Amino acid sequence: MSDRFDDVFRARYGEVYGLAWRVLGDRGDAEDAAQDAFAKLAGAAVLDRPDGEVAAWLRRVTINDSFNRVRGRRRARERVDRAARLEPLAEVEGAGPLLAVLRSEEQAEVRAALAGLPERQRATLLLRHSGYRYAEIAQTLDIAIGSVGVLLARGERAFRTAYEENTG
Amino acid sequence: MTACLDTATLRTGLDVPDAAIDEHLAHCDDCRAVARNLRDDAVSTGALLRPLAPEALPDAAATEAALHKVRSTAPAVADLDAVAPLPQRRAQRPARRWDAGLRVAAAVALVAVMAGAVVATPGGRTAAAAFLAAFRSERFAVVTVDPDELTDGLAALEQFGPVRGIRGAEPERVHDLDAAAEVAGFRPATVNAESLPDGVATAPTLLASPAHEVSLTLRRRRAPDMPADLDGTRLILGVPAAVVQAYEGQGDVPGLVVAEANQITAHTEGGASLDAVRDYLLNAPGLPPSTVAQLRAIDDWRTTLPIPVPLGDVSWEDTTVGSSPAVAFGDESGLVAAVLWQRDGRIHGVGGALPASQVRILAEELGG
Repeated sequence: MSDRFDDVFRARYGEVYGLAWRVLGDRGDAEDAAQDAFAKLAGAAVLDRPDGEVAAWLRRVTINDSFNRVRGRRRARERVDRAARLEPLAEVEGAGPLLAVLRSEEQAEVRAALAGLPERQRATLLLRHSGYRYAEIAQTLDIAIGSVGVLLARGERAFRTAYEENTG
Repeated sequence: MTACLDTATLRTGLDVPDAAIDEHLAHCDDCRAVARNLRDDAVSTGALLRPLAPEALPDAAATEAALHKVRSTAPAVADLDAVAPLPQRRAQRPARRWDAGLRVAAAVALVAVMAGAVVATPGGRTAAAAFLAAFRSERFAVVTVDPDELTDGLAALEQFGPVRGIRGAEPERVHDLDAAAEVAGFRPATVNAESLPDGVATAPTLLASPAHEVSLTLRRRRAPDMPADLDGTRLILGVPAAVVQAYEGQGDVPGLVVAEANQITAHTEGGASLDAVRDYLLNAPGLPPSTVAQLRAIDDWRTTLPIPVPLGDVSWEDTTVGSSPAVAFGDESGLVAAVLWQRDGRIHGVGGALPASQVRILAEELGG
Protein backbone atom coordinates (compact mmCIF):
# COMPACT_ATOMS: atom_id res chain seq x y z
CA MET A 1 0.00 0.00 0.00
CA SER A 2 1.13 3.55 -0.64
CA ASP A 3 0.08 5.58 2.37
CA ARG A 4 1.20 8.75 0.68
CA PHE A 5 -1.10 8.20 -2.29
CA ASP A 6 -4.03 7.25 -0.09
CA ASP A 7 -3.54 10.30 2.11
CA VAL A 8 -3.40 12.63 -0.87
CA PHE A 9 -6.45 10.99 -2.39
CA ARG A 10 -8.54 11.33 0.76
CA ALA A 11 -7.44 14.91 1.30
CA ARG A 12 -7.88 16.12 -2.26
CA TYR A 13 -10.48 14.00 -3.99
CA GLY A 14 -13.36 16.28 -3.04
CA GLU A 15 -11.53 19.38 -4.22
CA VAL A 16 -10.54 17.80 -7.53
CA TYR A 17 -14.05 16.45 -8.07
CA GLY A 18 -15.45 19.91 -7.37
CA LEU A 19 -13.25 21.52 -10.00
CA ALA A 20 -14.17 18.91 -12.58
CA TRP A 21 -17.85 19.37 -11.77
CA ARG A 22 -17.62 23.10 -12.38
CA VAL A 23 -16.33 22.44 -15.89
CA LEU A 24 -18.45 19.41 -16.75
CA GLY A 25 -21.65 19.79 -14.75
CA ASP A 26 -22.17 16.07 -14.64
CA ARG A 27 -21.48 13.77 -11.72
CA GLY A 28 -20.32 10.79 -13.73
CA ASP A 29 -18.01 12.85 -15.91
CA ALA A 30 -16.65 14.72 -12.90
CA GLU A 31 -15.90 11.44 -11.13
CA ASP A 32 -14.15 10.12 -14.23
CA ALA A 33 -12.04 13.24 -14.61
CA ALA A 34 -11.09 13.32 -10.94
CA GLN A 35 -10.23 9.64 -10.83
CA ASP A 36 -8.21 9.86 -14.03
CA ALA A 37 -6.17 12.67 -12.52
CA PHE A 38 -5.37 10.54 -9.48
CA ALA A 39 -4.55 7.56 -11.68
CA LYS A 40 -1.96 9.73 -13.43
CA LEU A 41 -0.66 10.92 -10.09
CA ALA A 42 -0.05 7.35 -9.00
CA GLY A 43 2.83 6.96 -11.41
CA ALA A 44 4.13 10.51 -11.28
CA ALA A 45 7.25 11.70 -9.51
CA VAL A 46 5.36 14.74 -8.25
CA LEU A 47 3.72 12.52 -5.63
CA ASP A 48 6.88 12.87 -3.55
CA ARG A 49 6.75 16.65 -3.65
CA PRO A 50 5.22 18.78 -0.87
CA ASP A 51 1.44 18.79 -0.56
CA GLY A 52 1.01 22.22 -2.14
CA GLU A 53 2.81 21.16 -5.29
CA VAL A 54 0.87 17.92 -5.52
CA ALA A 55 -2.39 19.82 -5.14
CA ALA A 56 -1.37 22.30 -7.85
CA TRP A 57 -0.45 19.43 -10.17
CA LEU A 58 -3.79 17.73 -9.57
CA ARG A 59 -5.69 20.93 -10.26
CA ARG A 60 -3.78 21.53 -13.48
CA VAL A 61 -4.30 18.00 -14.79
CA THR A 62 -7.96 17.99 -13.81
CA ILE A 63 -8.77 21.31 -15.44
CA ASN A 64 -7.01 20.40 -18.68
CA ASP A 65 -8.64 17.00 -18.81
CA SER A 66 -12.07 18.40 -17.99
CA PHE A 67 -11.96 20.97 -20.76
CA ASN A 68 -10.75 18.27 -23.15
CA ARG A 69 -13.82 16.26 -22.21
CA VAL A 70 -16.05 19.24 -22.92
CA ARG A 71 -14.69 19.25 -26.43
CA GLY A 72 -15.46 15.60 -26.93
CA ARG A 73 -18.37 15.58 -29.33
CA ARG A 74 -19.73 12.25 -28.33
CA ARG A 75 -19.90 13.05 -24.65
CA ALA A 76 -21.42 16.41 -25.41
CA ARG A 77 -24.07 14.69 -27.47
CA GLU A 78 -24.79 12.33 -24.60
CA ARG A 79 -25.13 15.21 -22.18
CA VAL A 80 -27.59 16.94 -24.46
CA ASP A 81 -29.57 13.74 -24.70
CA ARG A 82 -29.60 13.31 -20.96
CA ALA A 83 -30.72 16.88 -20.48
CA ALA A 84 -33.52 16.26 -22.93
CA ARG A 85 -34.67 13.35 -20.80
CA LEU A 86 -34.57 15.60 -17.72
CA GLU A 87 -32.32 13.10 -16.00
CA PRO A 88 -30.46 15.70 -13.89
CA LEU A 89 -33.67 17.03 -12.37
CA ALA A 90 -33.52 14.65 -9.47
CA GLU A 91 -30.34 16.36 -8.32
CA VAL A 92 -31.90 19.82 -8.08
CA GLU A 93 -33.45 19.72 -4.65
CA GLY A 94 -36.44 21.91 -4.02
CA ALA A 95 -36.71 23.19 -7.58
CA GLY A 96 -39.53 22.60 -9.98
CA PRO A 97 -38.84 20.97 -13.31
CA LEU A 98 -39.08 24.22 -15.27
CA LEU A 99 -36.71 26.01 -12.96
CA ALA A 100 -34.31 23.09 -13.16
CA VAL A 101 -34.35 23.15 -16.95
CA LEU A 102 -33.74 26.89 -17.05
CA ARG A 103 -30.91 26.57 -14.58
CA SER A 104 -29.39 23.69 -16.48
CA GLU A 105 -29.57 25.60 -19.76
CA GLU A 106 -28.08 28.73 -18.27
CA GLN A 107 -25.20 26.81 -16.76
CA ALA A 108 -24.58 25.07 -20.06
CA GLU A 109 -24.26 28.51 -21.70
CA VAL A 110 -21.85 29.59 -18.99
CA ARG A 111 -19.74 26.47 -19.41
CA ALA A 112 -19.71 26.87 -23.18
CA ALA A 113 -18.54 30.48 -22.94
CA LEU A 114 -15.85 29.48 -20.46
CA ALA A 115 -14.64 26.56 -22.57
CA GLY A 116 -14.22 28.88 -25.56
CA LEU A 117 -11.62 31.07 -23.85
CA PRO A 118 -7.85 30.65 -24.25
CA GLU A 119 -6.55 27.88 -22.01
CA ARG A 120 -4.89 29.98 -19.32
CA GLN A 121 -7.66 32.55 -19.16
CA ARG A 122 -10.37 29.98 -18.58
CA ALA A 123 -8.33 28.12 -15.99
CA THR A 124 -7.57 31.36 -14.16
CA LEU A 125 -11.24 32.35 -14.12
CA LEU A 126 -12.32 28.92 -12.99
CA LEU A 127 -9.84 28.86 -10.13
CA ARG A 128 -10.33 32.43 -8.97
CA HIS A 129 -14.09 32.20 -8.95
CA SER A 130 -13.84 28.91 -7.10
CA GLY A 131 -12.10 30.79 -4.31
CA TYR A 132 -8.43 30.04 -4.93
CA ARG A 133 -5.84 32.65 -4.00
CA TYR A 134 -3.52 34.31 -6.49
CA ALA A 135 -0.54 32.31 -5.22
CA GLU A 136 -2.41 29.03 -5.63
CA ILE A 137 -3.52 29.98 -9.14
CA ALA A 138 0.04 30.91 -10.11
CA GLN A 139 1.35 27.63 -8.73
CA THR A 140 -1.34 25.62 -10.48
CA LEU A 141 -0.70 27.19 -13.87
CA ASP A 142 3.05 27.53 -13.37
CA ILE A 143 2.99 31.25 -14.07
CA ALA A 144 4.27 34.31 -12.25
CA ILE A 145 1.89 35.59 -9.61
CA GLY A 146 1.93 38.96 -11.35
CA SER A 147 0.39 37.35 -14.43
CA VAL A 148 -2.76 36.31 -12.59
CA GLY A 149 -4.20 39.83 -12.69
CA VAL A 150 -3.53 40.10 -16.43
CA LEU A 151 -5.25 36.80 -17.14
CA LEU A 152 -8.19 37.68 -14.91
CA ALA A 153 -8.73 41.07 -16.55
CA ARG A 154 -8.53 39.70 -20.08
CA GLY A 155 -10.44 36.54 -19.27
CA GLU A 156 -13.33 38.24 -17.51
CA ARG A 157 -13.77 40.69 -20.39
CA ALA A 158 -13.63 37.90 -22.97
CA PHE A 159 -15.93 35.66 -20.96
CA ARG A 160 -18.52 38.37 -20.49
CA THR A 161 -18.44 39.21 -24.19
CA ALA A 162 -18.72 35.58 -25.24
CA TYR A 163 -21.56 34.87 -22.83
CA GLU A 164 -23.52 37.92 -23.89
CA GLU A 165 -23.04 37.07 -27.58
CA ASN A 166 -24.11 33.47 -27.02
CA THR A 167 -27.20 34.38 -25.07
CA GLY A 168 -28.18 37.29 -27.27
CA MET B 1 0.18 62.31 -9.18
CA THR B 2 1.87 59.00 -10.03
CA ALA B 3 1.77 57.48 -13.53
CA CYS B 4 -1.39 55.63 -14.52
CA LEU B 5 -1.65 52.03 -13.33
CA ASP B 6 -1.70 49.05 -15.69
CA THR B 7 -4.76 46.86 -16.05
CA ALA B 8 -3.24 43.92 -14.20
CA THR B 9 -2.47 46.07 -11.18
CA LEU B 10 -5.96 47.53 -11.14
CA ARG B 11 -7.55 44.09 -11.46
CA THR B 12 -5.38 42.64 -8.71
CA GLY B 13 -6.35 45.58 -6.55
CA LEU B 14 -9.96 44.43 -6.64
CA ASP B 15 -8.96 41.29 -4.75
CA VAL B 16 -5.82 42.26 -2.87
CA PRO B 17 -6.07 45.47 -0.86
CA ASP B 18 -3.46 48.04 -1.81
CA ALA B 19 -3.43 51.52 -0.30
CA ALA B 20 -1.21 52.84 -3.11
CA ILE B 21 -3.84 51.90 -5.69
CA ASP B 22 -6.58 53.56 -3.66
CA GLU B 23 -4.51 56.67 -3.33
CA HIS B 24 -3.94 56.81 -7.09
CA LEU B 25 -7.58 56.15 -7.92
CA ALA B 26 -8.66 58.98 -5.66
CA HIS B 27 -6.93 61.42 -8.01
CA CYS B 28 -7.08 59.75 -11.45
CA ASP B 29 -10.32 59.80 -13.42
CA ASP B 30 -8.90 57.58 -16.22
CA CYS B 31 -7.79 54.78 -13.91
CA ARG B 32 -11.00 55.04 -11.93
CA ALA B 33 -12.99 54.46 -15.12
CA VAL B 34 -10.84 51.46 -16.04
CA ALA B 35 -11.18 50.06 -12.52
CA ARG B 36 -14.95 50.46 -12.69
CA ASN B 37 -15.12 48.44 -15.91
CA LEU B 38 -12.85 45.77 -14.46
CA ARG B 39 -15.05 45.51 -11.39
CA ASP B 40 -18.17 45.17 -13.57
CA ASP B 41 -16.54 42.36 -15.53
CA ALA B 42 -15.36 40.63 -12.37
CA VAL B 43 -18.74 40.88 -10.64
CA SER B 44 -20.62 39.64 -13.72
CA THR B 45 -18.21 36.76 -14.23
CA GLY B 46 -18.37 35.77 -10.59
CA ALA B 47 -22.15 35.84 -10.58
CA LEU B 48 -22.23 33.46 -13.53
CA LEU B 49 -19.44 31.12 -12.48
CA ARG B 50 -20.23 30.68 -8.80
CA PRO B 51 -23.47 28.73 -9.42
CA LEU B 52 -21.39 26.11 -11.24
CA ALA B 53 -20.24 24.78 -7.87
CA PRO B 54 -21.49 21.25 -7.13
CA GLU B 55 -24.44 20.82 -4.81
CA ALA B 56 -22.36 18.45 -2.70
CA LEU B 57 -18.90 16.97 -2.60
CA PRO B 58 -18.26 13.23 -2.33
CA ASP B 59 -18.73 12.00 1.22
CA ALA B 60 -16.29 9.76 3.05
CA ALA B 61 -17.85 6.57 1.74
CA ALA B 62 -17.86 7.79 -1.86
CA THR B 63 -14.25 8.90 -1.52
CA GLU B 64 -13.22 5.48 -0.22
CA ALA B 65 -15.07 3.79 -3.06
CA ALA B 66 -13.35 6.05 -5.59
CA LEU B 67 -9.97 5.36 -3.99
CA HIS B 68 -10.59 1.63 -4.22
CA LYS B 69 -11.55 1.99 -7.87
CA VAL B 70 -8.46 4.01 -8.75
CA ARG B 71 -6.16 1.66 -6.88
CA SER B 72 -7.60 -1.32 -8.69
CA THR B 73 -7.10 0.27 -12.10
CA ALA B 74 -3.78 2.06 -11.56
CA PRO B 75 -1.01 -0.51 -11.10
CA ALA B 76 1.51 2.24 -10.53
CA VAL B 77 -0.01 2.86 -7.13
CA ALA B 78 0.94 -0.60 -5.99
CA ASP B 79 4.36 -0.26 -7.61
CA LEU B 80 5.15 2.63 -5.34
CA ASP B 81 5.30 0.24 -2.41
CA ALA B 82 8.12 -1.71 -3.99
CA VAL B 83 10.57 1.13 -4.33
CA ALA B 84 12.54 2.86 -1.65
CA PRO B 85 10.95 6.06 -0.42
CA LEU B 86 12.32 9.21 -1.99
CA PRO B 87 13.89 11.87 0.20
CA GLN B 88 11.34 13.98 2.03
CA ARG B 89 11.98 17.31 0.39
CA ARG B 90 9.38 18.89 2.62
CA ALA B 91 11.60 18.35 5.63
CA GLN B 92 14.58 19.84 3.81
CA ARG B 93 12.81 22.99 2.77
CA PRO B 94 14.57 25.97 4.34
CA ALA B 95 12.41 28.43 6.22
CA ARG B 96 12.39 31.67 4.29
CA ARG B 97 12.06 34.97 6.04
CA TRP B 98 9.07 36.11 4.06
CA ASP B 99 7.44 32.78 4.56
CA ALA B 100 7.75 33.03 8.30
CA GLY B 101 6.66 36.64 8.18
CA LEU B 102 3.58 35.83 6.25
CA ARG B 103 2.76 33.12 8.71
CA VAL B 104 2.96 35.53 11.62
CA ALA B 105 0.83 38.03 9.76
CA ALA B 106 -1.52 35.21 8.94
CA ALA B 107 -1.71 34.28 12.59
CA VAL B 108 -2.90 37.77 13.41
CA ALA B 109 -5.41 37.99 10.62
CA LEU B 110 -6.43 34.39 10.96
CA VAL B 111 -7.10 34.18 14.62
CA ALA B 112 -7.84 37.62 15.89
CA VAL B 113 -10.14 38.86 13.24
CA MET B 114 -10.34 36.95 10.03
CA ALA B 115 -11.47 33.60 11.34
CA GLY B 116 -14.66 34.10 9.44
CA ALA B 117 -12.85 34.90 6.24
CA VAL B 118 -10.66 31.87 6.63
CA VAL B 119 -13.62 29.65 7.22
CA ALA B 120 -15.21 31.27 4.21
CA THR B 121 -12.24 30.54 1.99
CA PRO B 122 -12.16 27.20 0.24
CA GLY B 123 -8.84 25.68 1.08
CA GLY B 124 -8.52 27.51 4.35
CA ARG B 125 -6.47 24.94 6.15
CA THR B 126 -7.47 25.95 9.61
CA ALA B 127 -11.19 25.87 9.13
CA ALA B 128 -11.45 22.67 11.07
CA ALA B 129 -9.53 24.19 13.93
CA ALA B 130 -11.74 27.26 13.83
CA PHE B 131 -14.80 25.08 14.08
CA LEU B 132 -13.33 23.41 17.07
CA ALA B 133 -13.55 26.74 18.77
CA ALA B 134 -16.94 25.82 20.15
CA PHE B 135 -17.16 28.47 22.78
CA ARG B 136 -17.46 32.12 23.50
CA SER B 137 -13.92 33.38 23.13
CA GLU B 138 -12.49 35.07 26.19
CA ARG B 139 -8.92 33.81 26.43
CA PHE B 140 -6.21 32.56 24.08
CA ALA B 141 -4.35 29.28 23.98
CA VAL B 142 -1.66 28.78 21.37
CA VAL B 143 -1.80 25.44 19.55
CA THR B 144 0.98 24.50 17.19
CA VAL B 145 -0.02 22.88 13.91
CA ASP B 146 1.87 21.47 10.99
CA PRO B 147 0.10 22.96 7.97
CA ASP B 148 1.36 20.13 5.80
CA GLU B 149 -0.47 17.63 7.96
CA LEU B 150 -3.81 19.38 7.97
CA THR B 151 -6.29 18.40 5.36
CA ASP B 152 -8.19 20.99 3.42
CA GLY B 153 -10.48 22.76 5.84
CA LEU B 154 -13.61 22.81 3.76
CA ALA B 155 -13.18 19.24 2.62
CA ALA B 156 -12.59 18.20 6.21
CA LEU B 157 -15.90 19.71 7.27
CA GLU B 158 -17.88 18.49 4.30
CA GLN B 159 -17.01 14.93 5.21
CA PHE B 160 -19.24 15.30 8.28
CA GLY B 161 -22.22 16.91 6.58
CA PRO B 162 -23.37 19.91 4.57
CA VAL B 163 -21.82 23.26 5.45
CA ARG B 164 -23.90 26.39 4.94
CA GLY B 165 -22.92 30.03 5.04
CA ILE B 166 -19.34 29.47 3.92
CA ARG B 167 -19.61 32.25 1.38
CA GLY B 168 -21.66 34.41 3.66
CA ALA B 169 -19.60 37.50 4.19
CA GLU B 170 -16.69 38.43 2.01
CA PRO B 171 -14.73 41.29 3.57
CA GLU B 172 -15.74 44.54 1.94
CA ARG B 173 -13.35 47.34 1.13
CA VAL B 174 -14.56 50.59 2.63
CA HIS B 175 -13.21 54.11 2.41
CA ASP B 176 -13.33 55.36 5.98
CA LEU B 177 -13.93 54.28 9.56
CA ASP B 178 -17.53 55.48 9.48
CA ALA B 179 -18.26 53.13 6.61
CA ALA B 180 -16.39 50.35 8.43
CA ALA B 181 -18.51 50.96 11.52
CA GLU B 182 -21.65 50.76 9.43
CA VAL B 183 -20.67 47.33 8.09
CA ALA B 184 -19.23 45.87 11.30
CA GLY B 185 -21.61 47.40 13.82
CA PHE B 186 -18.83 48.86 15.95
CA ARG B 187 -16.41 51.69 15.51
CA PRO B 188 -12.83 50.43 15.21
CA ALA B 189 -9.93 52.02 17.06
CA THR B 190 -8.35 55.02 15.39
CA VAL B 191 -4.63 54.76 14.70
CA ASN B 192 -2.88 58.01 15.49
CA ALA B 193 -1.01 59.15 12.37
CA GLU B 194 1.89 60.32 14.53
CA SER B 195 2.26 56.80 15.90
CA LEU B 196 2.70 55.16 12.50
CA PRO B 197 6.13 53.55 12.11
CA ASP B 198 8.51 54.76 9.44
CA GLY B 199 8.24 53.01 6.11
CA VAL B 200 4.51 52.24 6.16
CA ALA B 201 1.85 53.95 4.09
CA THR B 202 0.16 56.91 5.70
CA ALA B 203 -3.33 55.73 4.81
CA PRO B 204 -4.64 52.21 5.43
CA THR B 205 -6.69 49.94 3.24
CA LEU B 206 -9.87 49.28 5.19
CA LEU B 207 -11.69 45.97 5.11
CA ALA B 208 -14.89 45.32 7.02
CA SER B 209 -17.15 42.30 7.25
CA PRO B 210 -20.49 41.90 9.02
CA ALA B 211 -21.23 39.10 11.41
CA HIS B 212 -22.71 35.96 9.95
CA GLU B 213 -23.27 32.35 10.79
CA VAL B 214 -21.68 29.23 9.37
CA SER B 215 -23.39 25.96 10.14
CA LEU B 216 -22.39 22.34 9.85
CA THR B 217 -25.19 19.77 9.96
CA LEU B 218 -23.76 16.45 11.05
CA ARG B 219 -24.94 13.60 8.83
CA ARG B 220 -24.16 10.02 9.69
CA ARG B 221 -24.56 8.92 6.10
CA ARG B 222 -21.48 10.96 5.25
CA ALA B 223 -19.42 9.70 8.17
CA PRO B 224 -20.55 6.19 9.04
CA ASP B 225 -18.53 6.11 12.26
CA MET B 226 -20.52 9.03 13.65
CA PRO B 227 -22.46 8.22 16.86
CA ALA B 228 -26.18 8.01 16.13
CA ASP B 229 -27.08 10.72 18.62
CA LEU B 230 -25.02 13.27 16.68
CA ASP B 231 -26.86 12.68 13.42
CA GLY B 232 -28.81 15.81 12.51
CA THR B 233 -27.16 18.07 15.06
CA ARG B 234 -26.32 21.54 13.73
CA LEU B 235 -23.12 23.16 14.92
CA ILE B 236 -23.50 26.88 14.42
CA LEU B 237 -20.48 29.14 14.47
CA GLY B 238 -21.08 32.84 14.99
CA VAL B 239 -18.43 34.44 12.82
CA PRO B 240 -17.95 37.91 14.24
CA ALA B 241 -18.02 41.25 12.52
CA ALA B 242 -14.49 42.46 11.90
CA VAL B 243 -12.51 45.44 10.67
CA VAL B 244 -8.93 45.33 9.37
CA GLN B 245 -6.77 48.39 8.77
CA ALA B 246 -3.82 47.34 6.60
CA TYR B 247 -0.91 49.69 5.96
CA GLU B 248 1.35 48.91 3.02
CA GLY B 249 4.99 48.32 3.92
CA GLN B 250 8.23 47.87 2.03
CA GLY B 251 8.03 44.18 1.20
CA ASP B 252 5.59 41.33 0.79
CA VAL B 253 4.52 41.42 4.42
CA PRO B 254 2.10 44.24 5.34
CA GLY B 255 3.90 47.06 7.09
CA LEU B 256 1.24 47.25 9.76
CA VAL B 257 -2.08 45.49 10.33
CA VAL B 258 -4.55 46.63 12.97
CA ALA B 259 -7.48 44.30 13.38
CA GLU B 260 -10.55 44.17 15.56
CA ALA B 261 -13.44 41.72 15.86
CA ASN B 262 -16.25 40.76 18.15
CA GLN B 263 -16.11 37.45 19.91
CA ILE B 264 -16.54 34.14 18.15
CA THR B 265 -19.43 32.09 19.47
CA ALA B 266 -20.79 28.63 18.82
CA HIS B 267 -23.73 26.53 19.83
CA THR B 268 -25.58 23.44 18.72
CA GLU B 269 -29.19 22.86 17.74
CA GLY B 270 -31.30 19.79 17.32
CA GLY B 271 -29.61 17.10 19.27
CA ALA B 272 -26.19 16.61 20.76
CA SER B 273 -24.35 18.97 23.08
CA LEU B 274 -21.30 21.02 22.25
CA ASP B 275 -19.25 18.67 24.41
CA ALA B 276 -20.30 15.68 22.34
CA VAL B 277 -19.70 17.45 19.03
CA ARG B 278 -16.29 18.66 20.17
CA ASP B 279 -15.24 15.21 21.29
CA TYR B 280 -16.33 13.72 18.02
CA LEU B 281 -14.59 16.32 15.85
CA LEU B 282 -11.40 16.04 17.86
CA ASN B 283 -11.30 12.35 17.07
CA ALA B 284 -11.98 12.86 13.37
CA PRO B 285 -9.17 12.77 10.80
CA GLY B 286 -7.62 16.02 9.63
CA LEU B 287 -5.80 17.28 12.69
CA PRO B 288 -2.41 15.88 13.70
CA PRO B 289 -2.47 13.89 16.96
CA SER B 290 -0.24 16.45 18.66
CA THR B 291 -2.73 19.20 17.87
CA VAL B 292 -5.60 17.11 19.20
CA ALA B 293 -3.63 16.52 22.39
CA GLN B 294 -3.05 20.24 22.83
CA LEU B 295 -6.70 21.07 22.21
CA ARG B 296 -7.75 18.46 24.74
CA ALA B 297 -5.35 19.91 27.25
CA ILE B 298 -7.06 23.28 27.28
CA ASP B 299 -8.68 23.58 30.70
CA ASP B 300 -11.82 25.43 29.73
CA TRP B 301 -12.39 25.11 26.04
CA ARG B 302 -15.73 26.91 26.29
CA THR B 303 -14.00 30.22 26.84
CA THR B 304 -10.55 29.69 25.39
CA LEU B 305 -9.81 30.43 21.74
CA PRO B 306 -7.23 28.01 20.30
CA ILE B 307 -4.82 29.98 18.11
CA PRO B 308 -3.31 27.72 15.45
CA VAL B 309 0.32 28.69 14.93
CA PRO B 310 2.53 27.03 12.28
CA LEU B 311 5.05 24.72 13.82
CA GLY B 312 8.63 25.90 13.92
CA ASP B 313 8.63 29.38 12.44
CA VAL B 314 6.79 31.31 15.11
CA SER B 315 7.52 31.93 18.77
CA TRP B 316 5.10 33.37 21.32
CA GLU B 317 4.72 34.37 24.95
CA ASP B 318 1.87 35.30 27.26
CA THR B 319 1.78 38.98 28.13
CA THR B 320 -0.65 41.78 28.85
CA VAL B 321 -1.83 44.86 26.97
CA GLY B 322 -2.95 47.36 29.58
CA SER B 323 -4.56 44.98 32.04
CA SER B 324 -5.88 42.61 29.40
CA PRO B 325 -4.45 39.13 28.77
CA ALA B 326 -2.51 38.98 25.52
CA VAL B 327 -0.20 36.82 23.44
CA ALA B 328 2.86 38.25 21.65
CA PHE B 329 4.13 36.49 18.52
CA GLY B 330 7.40 36.79 16.63
CA ASP B 331 9.12 35.04 13.76
CA GLU B 332 12.57 33.57 13.98
CA SER B 333 14.16 36.52 12.19
CA GLY B 334 12.84 39.02 14.72
CA LEU B 335 11.65 41.23 11.88
CA VAL B 336 7.96 40.41 12.08
CA ALA B 337 5.83 40.56 15.20
CA ALA B 338 2.22 40.62 16.37
CA VAL B 339 0.17 40.98 19.54
CA LEU B 340 -3.36 39.72 20.20
CA TRP B 341 -5.44 40.74 23.17
CA GLN B 342 -9.04 40.82 24.39
CA ARG B 343 -10.74 43.83 25.86
CA ASP B 344 -14.36 44.81 26.40
CA GLY B 345 -15.59 41.65 24.73
CA ARG B 346 -13.63 42.25 21.57
CA ILE B 347 -10.53 40.65 20.04
CA HIS B 348 -7.76 43.01 18.96
CA GLY B 349 -4.64 42.40 16.92
CA VAL B 350 -1.65 44.47 15.84
CA GLY B 351 1.18 43.12 13.74
CA GLY B 352 3.39 43.50 10.73
CA ALA B 353 6.97 43.79 9.54
CA LEU B 354 8.02 45.61 12.68
CA PRO B 355 10.23 45.04 15.72
CA ALA B 356 8.37 43.45 18.63
CA SER B 357 8.98 46.49 20.82
CA GLN B 358 7.29 48.78 18.32
CA VAL B 359 4.30 46.46 18.01
CA ARG B 360 3.93 46.45 21.79
CA ILE B 361 3.96 50.25 21.90
CA LEU B 362 1.26 50.43 19.25
CA ALA B 363 -0.81 47.81 21.06
CA GLU B 364 -0.57 49.76 24.31
CA GLU B 365 -1.62 52.94 22.54
CA LEU B 366 -4.63 51.23 21.01
CA GLY B 367 -5.69 49.03 23.86
CA GLY B 368 -3.89 49.98 27.03
